[in-house]
Amino acid sequence: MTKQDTTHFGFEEVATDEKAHRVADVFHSVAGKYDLMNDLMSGGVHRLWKRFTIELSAVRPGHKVLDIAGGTGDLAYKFSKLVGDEGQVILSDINSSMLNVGRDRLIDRGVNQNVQYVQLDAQHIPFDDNSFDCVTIAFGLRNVTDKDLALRSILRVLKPGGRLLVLEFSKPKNKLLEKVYDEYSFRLLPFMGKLITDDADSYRYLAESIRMHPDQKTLQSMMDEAGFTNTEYHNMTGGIVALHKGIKP
Amino acid sequence: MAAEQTPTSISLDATVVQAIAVSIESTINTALRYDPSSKQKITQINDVLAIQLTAPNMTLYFHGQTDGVSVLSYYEDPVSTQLSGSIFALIHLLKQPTSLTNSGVQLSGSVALLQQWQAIFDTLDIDWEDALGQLFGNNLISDAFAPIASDYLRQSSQWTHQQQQEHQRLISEYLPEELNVVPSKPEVESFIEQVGDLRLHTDRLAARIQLLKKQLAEKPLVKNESKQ
Repeated sequence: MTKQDTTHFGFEEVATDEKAHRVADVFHSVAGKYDLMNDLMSGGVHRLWKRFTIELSAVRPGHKVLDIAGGTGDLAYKFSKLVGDEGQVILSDINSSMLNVGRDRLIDRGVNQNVQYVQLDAQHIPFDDNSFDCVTIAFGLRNVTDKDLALRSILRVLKPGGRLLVLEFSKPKNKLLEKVYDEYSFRLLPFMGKLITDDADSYRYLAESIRMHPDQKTLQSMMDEAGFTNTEYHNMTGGIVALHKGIKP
Repeated sequence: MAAEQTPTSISLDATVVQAIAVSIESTINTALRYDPSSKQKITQINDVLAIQLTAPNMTLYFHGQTDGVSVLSYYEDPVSTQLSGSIFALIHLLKQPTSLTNSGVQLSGSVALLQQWQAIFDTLDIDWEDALGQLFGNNLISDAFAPIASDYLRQSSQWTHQQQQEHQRLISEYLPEELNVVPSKPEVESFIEQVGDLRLHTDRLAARIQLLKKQLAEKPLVKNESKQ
């Protein structure tokens, strides 16, 4: 097996074809308690990160929005209110379990007019060119096998002037914070995962995948290379999370 | 008229700014829940008010929505009105909304929008007992708890007010008497009195000079007459 045929799954080197299946297993396992774990892991701060993402999206009535790796539908719910009856939101995820949880949640919250649900792979988005005003991917890009391919695929489906927002764990700016964060994610996080979902391995993978994800500058240059313009990023919570923005020229 | 928009400040961590925005939004919307009249007025405001704090450095955008107020930390379109100033100047203006002159707060854009928001907040009446009753439900425990909690909130508010007055008193004594960096109130009053006296003396002197000039102008005429 050559280097070309392998990729990382957390700190593990796996065959490229295998990563998607392994990631799928992780999310099938955690889907049921994903929201609860998010709240516990971040102390509820993930809601603030997502709120800022919504603000930066500048989505308006009538817009068409694609939420990739939309999971349990936090962003899609807000977008459905912003785009109104004339707009459209596609809640998508590669993982059927996550998509089912998201769909159930949105239906329970009375959202059924302007949201559609699509199981899709971010590397091969099954929509026409120039279809969306905004594409978001929150805490999903690090799980994608070929991130460059996914960025190019997103660029293709965006309308000219449309924007991509990538909300993802990143690299803390402060060394001390980084040390505390390491301790937390490699010791406490798997323990919490074991306690709540009886699945320490999945949460160990989450921590490892965060470390393997490109840092702020690297991701920005990847977006530039994919063809986005006016790329920028905003660090949040000391750089633990970063929100990247890029515009399709 | 659209005020020039200032880009979002990210001097404070974006998470902190979000937390502040959520907190303000939640406080206002909780108050509006018990004041349908003000809520109705807010839904009719279509324009965005920007409040730019210079210290700490951040901008918040207030937008009327059908379900209350939306407080954003990022807004791309031009805003109708922008207020800029330090947090202390803005709080002072909020407490005593008389005039912007010498308040340390700059206004750009529509004054009418500012007046609309000000009128709503002036009339915003919060019934803490009812709010707490709703929050904790109508049972025996909550019936007993709600008045106690609302008393506590009122007392907290009074305590805060007293503390503010006490701090103002301490500052007004500490700066002139301990640090000697500003004059004390009696010294200022005495100085003002002296300036007043000086002005009075100057006026009298000016009048006296005027009189003497007049007399001098008349005297040569008298001498010429005696020579003839």
